[in-house]
Amino acid sequence: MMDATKLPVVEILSLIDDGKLSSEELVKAYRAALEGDRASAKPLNAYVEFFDDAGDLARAADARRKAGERLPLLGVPFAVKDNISIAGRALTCASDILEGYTSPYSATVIERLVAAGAIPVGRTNMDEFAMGSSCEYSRYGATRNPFDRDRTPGGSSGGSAVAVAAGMAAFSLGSETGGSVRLPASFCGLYGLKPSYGRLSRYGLVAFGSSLDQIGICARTAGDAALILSVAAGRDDHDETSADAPVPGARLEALPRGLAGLRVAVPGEFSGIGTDPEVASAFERVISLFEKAGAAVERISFPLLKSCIALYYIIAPAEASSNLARFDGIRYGARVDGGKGLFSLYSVTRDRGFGPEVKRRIVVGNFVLSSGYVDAYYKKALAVRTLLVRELTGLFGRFDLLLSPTSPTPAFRIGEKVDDPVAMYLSDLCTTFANLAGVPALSIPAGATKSGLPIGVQIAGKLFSEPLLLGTAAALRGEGL
Amino acid sequence: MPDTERLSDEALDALLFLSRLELSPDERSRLKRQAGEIISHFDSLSRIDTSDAQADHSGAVDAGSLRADEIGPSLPVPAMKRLSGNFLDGYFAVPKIIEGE
Amino acid sequence: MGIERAELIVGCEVHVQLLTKTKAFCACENRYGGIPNTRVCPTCLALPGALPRVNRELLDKSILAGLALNCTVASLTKFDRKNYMYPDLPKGYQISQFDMPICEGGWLDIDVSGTTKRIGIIRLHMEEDAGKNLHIDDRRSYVDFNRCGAPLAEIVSKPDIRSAEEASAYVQGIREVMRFIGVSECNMEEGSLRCDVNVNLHVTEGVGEFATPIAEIKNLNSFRSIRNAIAYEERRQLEEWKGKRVTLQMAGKQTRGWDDDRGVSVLQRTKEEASDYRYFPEPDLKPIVVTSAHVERIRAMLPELPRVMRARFEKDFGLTAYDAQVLTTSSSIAAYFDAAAAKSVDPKKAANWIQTEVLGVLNTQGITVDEFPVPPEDIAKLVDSVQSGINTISMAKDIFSRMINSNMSFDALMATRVQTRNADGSAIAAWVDEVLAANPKVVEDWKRGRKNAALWLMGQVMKKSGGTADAKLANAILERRLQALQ
Ligand SMILES: [Zn+2]
Repeated sequence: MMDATKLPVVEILSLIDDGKLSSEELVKAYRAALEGDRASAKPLNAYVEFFDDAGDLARAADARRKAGERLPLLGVPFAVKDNISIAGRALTCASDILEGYTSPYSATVIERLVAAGAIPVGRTNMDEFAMGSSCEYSRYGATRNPFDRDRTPGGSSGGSAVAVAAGMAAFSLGSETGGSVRLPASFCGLYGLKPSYGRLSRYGLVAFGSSLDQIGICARTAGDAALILSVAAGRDDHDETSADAPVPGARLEALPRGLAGLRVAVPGEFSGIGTDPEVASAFERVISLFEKAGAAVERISFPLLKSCIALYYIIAPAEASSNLARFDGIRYGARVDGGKGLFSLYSVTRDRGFGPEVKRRIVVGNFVLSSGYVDAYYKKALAVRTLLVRELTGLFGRFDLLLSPTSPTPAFRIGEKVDDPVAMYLSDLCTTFANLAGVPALSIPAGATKSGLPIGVQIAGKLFSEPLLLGTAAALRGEGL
Repeated sequence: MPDTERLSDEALDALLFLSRLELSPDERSRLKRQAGEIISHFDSLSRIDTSDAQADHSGAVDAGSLRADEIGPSLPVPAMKRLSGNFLDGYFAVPKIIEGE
Repeated sequence: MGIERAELIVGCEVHVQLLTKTKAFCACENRYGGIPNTRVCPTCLALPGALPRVNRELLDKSILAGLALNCTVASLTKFDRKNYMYPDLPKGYQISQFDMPICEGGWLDIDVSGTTKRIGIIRLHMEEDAGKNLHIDDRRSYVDFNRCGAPLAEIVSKPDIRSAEEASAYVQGIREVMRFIGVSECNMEEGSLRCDVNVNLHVTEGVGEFATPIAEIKNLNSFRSIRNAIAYEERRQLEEWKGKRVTLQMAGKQTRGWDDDRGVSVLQRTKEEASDYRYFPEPDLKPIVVTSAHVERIRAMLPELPRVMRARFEKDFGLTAYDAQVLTTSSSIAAYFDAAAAKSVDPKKAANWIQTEVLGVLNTQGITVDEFPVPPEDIAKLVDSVQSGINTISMAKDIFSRMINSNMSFDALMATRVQTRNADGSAIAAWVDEVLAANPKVVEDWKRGRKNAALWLMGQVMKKSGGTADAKLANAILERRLQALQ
């Protein structure tokens, strides 16, 4: 049998259609890759659970196919970040505070993928409550980068990226609040899509920064990402912020492609400070690919982009401090009752249940919302965000795409930034603006450093321009990227 | 202002109360320093002129599009028992609540 | 320098639970009581990942309530999070409204000791209720989330209230209007109406005027406790002022609980931070556009309000203020009377009949007027039949109870009675003669042209027959005899 573990979804489907591969064989191969890795000296630690019954589900999918059933993703195994609810499965957000919790319901996106025949095979590691950029702040320990096991895969959806990069899933779901899918995708050589705000339902995704959160997709090709997006997208009555914006044309052929005539903006704000030289030269190569293919690339200045980190680290913690108040030990999850009354139950449960980064953000979030500070920080941030949306809307009137590196550096070392929150936050330099403005953004693999670390570039477009982003990514591939 | 002084001890106490967090002295002083550092990075925003940035509420929905008032399913009691080991006699049991606590 | 004047200043915050089928932000049934924790779902239990969805009836009933209180309805409204942690509040925040409430700037007129006073209403906003904490034993509390997420309208008055009586009248007025328009049962025992009051004094001493610290007394659950708590607080603050001279500027606002058994308010020591609610816009819900067409559609559903209706009953039907009050205790009783009065030649008699007979039956049978089998038109016919002498009071009562028990209409019952009537002309003639002989003065009146006298005499004949005489025949004989006397 061939090694099918690194195949994209589109190829898997055609092999299965041709009877050359079964879903059960594929799940077996992923499980074997996982078990082989677990036995290694430095396990990747991508999965926190690979479902015991994944093989049974795959066999059932094979049987349905034999019976003549045809569904867009029938039999395709995928991995799910451990902050997306699957009915009957544990859900921890890599936090001790959700110890013992099993979700009684499924996220809408999971329901849609499962209805299309896809098979969730396991839960992946992440930074606790998606707060982090390295996949180190986890109750399950750090996830390692398959290209260099002493480096992080990026975060917070590190486990989801590694599961795909290491041949343990056909694609995976992560979540995006400030770059949590794009960053690990770029560190692991994958396509990472942050859809437009509202494109995918958030119902069942554990909230971090509700006005920023979107479920994101890690895939081996732009075509895979397009297919998965088309199955999962569209209005959901369970999420009032979801948009009535389905993505027609599941197959890549239907996407707009061709780089000629595209107007591409390259903001100087992302390429100046601290950019790794190898990242810079990979980025310049992408610019010249665009230009050679007839796109008009213009270097612009967009000063507000420099404020996005501050903006993001006010708004996301503010919302998080409120979103995480429900983890109180009363109705589910961990409870530490020292017999000293209610207040102590709350504060001890939360002290033991949350890790240091989550605590930092809860405290900072409460700070920016508290009386006396709310105007200077939270309300000011909302006002700047309004400006950002306005200016970015103007920019996307003049340009089709905004192009930048996904991250100023390739994957950094495990432990390098874990005790320096501000340095960690700067990993999100190039990504947070898309979440703040609600626009879609895609990280595209763009080569590697001499030492073999993947490099990613990012394209962003106006609201609901995912087809353009994905088509452009496919066209760049055609140009030799 | 040095970052360590961005948050007074009283302010930190208030925030820890609002956050319902009880920290060890070590963790507390580390948090005080780090939170101060983080907050000091927010200062750059004050230089941005936002006098022209009223929220536009362009994403507002029409009253008629809201959820219809029709009863849907609730969770069965066994689901509650699976959620919590403190689900006793049909209730979620908590330590004795003292009013005003 | 002594106290010249100490004016009591009171503002009320009334929470009204709205009568919707489902909760405010999820599809769980909105109902009182029942087996605990059986009407809960991922959203109202705040399970990870669950999201709220606005019930359109929460909005529409809030708009109706606001219109009934003469408020302006916002064209754009939004929800905010009010953050505080408590076991009965699963999300750790309440979805409420902060700076863009659905309704603002209304009023309610109340009557206190014969005069009408207008109490201003600052705002009406939408929010969700918390669950219920039960304190059954000494070791633990128990939480039931059935009520959690129930839709509430919070109505905030201006500090226009100047006495305990006014406060009570105001809350009763709110309750009356809310029940009348059908948005809430406003049952204080079941907690579907709850009231917090803010109380302080404006003390005048010489040229100085001082405000005492505002006391917010929470969760008053009867009109008696509203009156008692305010009266107590008025005395307490005056004493405290005399002793300590602490002003509002110095001490701010304090929260007090009302101990109904002991009749005292008790200071609740809460951390200052606990009231820092860190409001911010609810990111899970979009702002809502309320078009004027939408508001007008709801305004069209607004019934005539009880105060207006009472004035009309007094003016058009000649009812006393008391009778008008009794007949407007609910919109269905008012509508019932209104329909009867419209068909009756003497609405006052209809009013009396409904108050004594109909309400009596409703009380003893424990049913509502909507379940009452006799239509208001038949009450009008019944009352008019007494008036015209066709039935005596006791006959009418007999017909009334037969209408209730047989479900037969007034006309049908009268028709069957005619068939069994005494049509023996000589017997009737004898009764007529007896009546004429016994009432010479009335006969004289008739001769002088008082036609009502004949009606009265007819009634006497019917009475003499014990209600058995064929009324048409009896009327003809009486008419013939009177003509003969002319
Ligand atoms: Zn519910």
